[in-house]
Amino acid sequence: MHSTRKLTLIAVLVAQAIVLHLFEALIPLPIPIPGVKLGLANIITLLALVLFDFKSALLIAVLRTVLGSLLSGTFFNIAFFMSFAGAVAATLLMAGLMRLGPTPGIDSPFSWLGISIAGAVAHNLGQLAVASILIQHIAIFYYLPIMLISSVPTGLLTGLLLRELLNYLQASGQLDQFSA
Amino acid sequence: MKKADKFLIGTILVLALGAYLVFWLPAQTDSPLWAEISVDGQAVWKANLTDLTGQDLLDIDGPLGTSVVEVKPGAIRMNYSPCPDHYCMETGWINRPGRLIVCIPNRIVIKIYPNNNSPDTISN
Repeated sequence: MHSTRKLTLIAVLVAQAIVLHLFEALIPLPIPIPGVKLGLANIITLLALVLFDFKSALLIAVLRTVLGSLLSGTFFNIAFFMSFAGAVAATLLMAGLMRLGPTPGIDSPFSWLGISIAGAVAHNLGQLAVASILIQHIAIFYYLPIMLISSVPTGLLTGLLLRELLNYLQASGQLDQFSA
Repeated sequence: MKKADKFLIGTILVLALGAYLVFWLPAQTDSPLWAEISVDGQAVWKANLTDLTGQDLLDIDGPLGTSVVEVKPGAIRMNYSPCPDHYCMETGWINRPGRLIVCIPNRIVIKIYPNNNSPDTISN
């Protein structure tokens, strides 16, 4: 892909990820547990892994957390470090899972749903790890069962959304333009 | 959904159950309730909650300022906190072993535990 085109697309994806990140803060959840989120911005990270490569996806995830925290006024406080660690951990694990299988990147044994759920788990574990380092108390891991269980429905939801998005891009022929 | 996906979900649920058994179950007993307040992992206040006679307010200093913890017989809550999001205050009163109030911005953890199982045995 042409580098200017790629640069522009990455900028658009970063902007979309930030909007999703801010948007999901407005959705009330049935069970208000601190730290449990839908993780809609993860869709963009996964889309970047499909369209581009690991490096671009990591760049988008990092830019999203930095710029997103600047916009929500949480830059360099604890929430920033938690979401930064979560986003990086999720990108690493999802990229790793996509590369599994005989033809890396094509036939991973995991579907988008599985990869998305794994990303949600990695995001939560990354957050908890940073929180436990900052708060110096093992008690933070009391959240672990809740975070693990909540990753399944939230990961499924983002995975389903991504699958529909990819189906749409495929059907409308837009996915082919990216590989050109 | 592929086979590997189902295996992954199963693993997550088993891990969640394991974490629940390790962190939550030992605390579900009928022994007297103790509460511990710690700042940055250091215990600053400890008392037998069941034996308290009246309501009391405790000033706990953290990096952001002074948080006010309220205790009454059998229960404890964060009455005021200088943190930005007040999750700790929204937790409300806690009154069962294993329950927890965490204020990450002000580095304060309030924990209820049964007498025979000091949190320090887990922390260390």
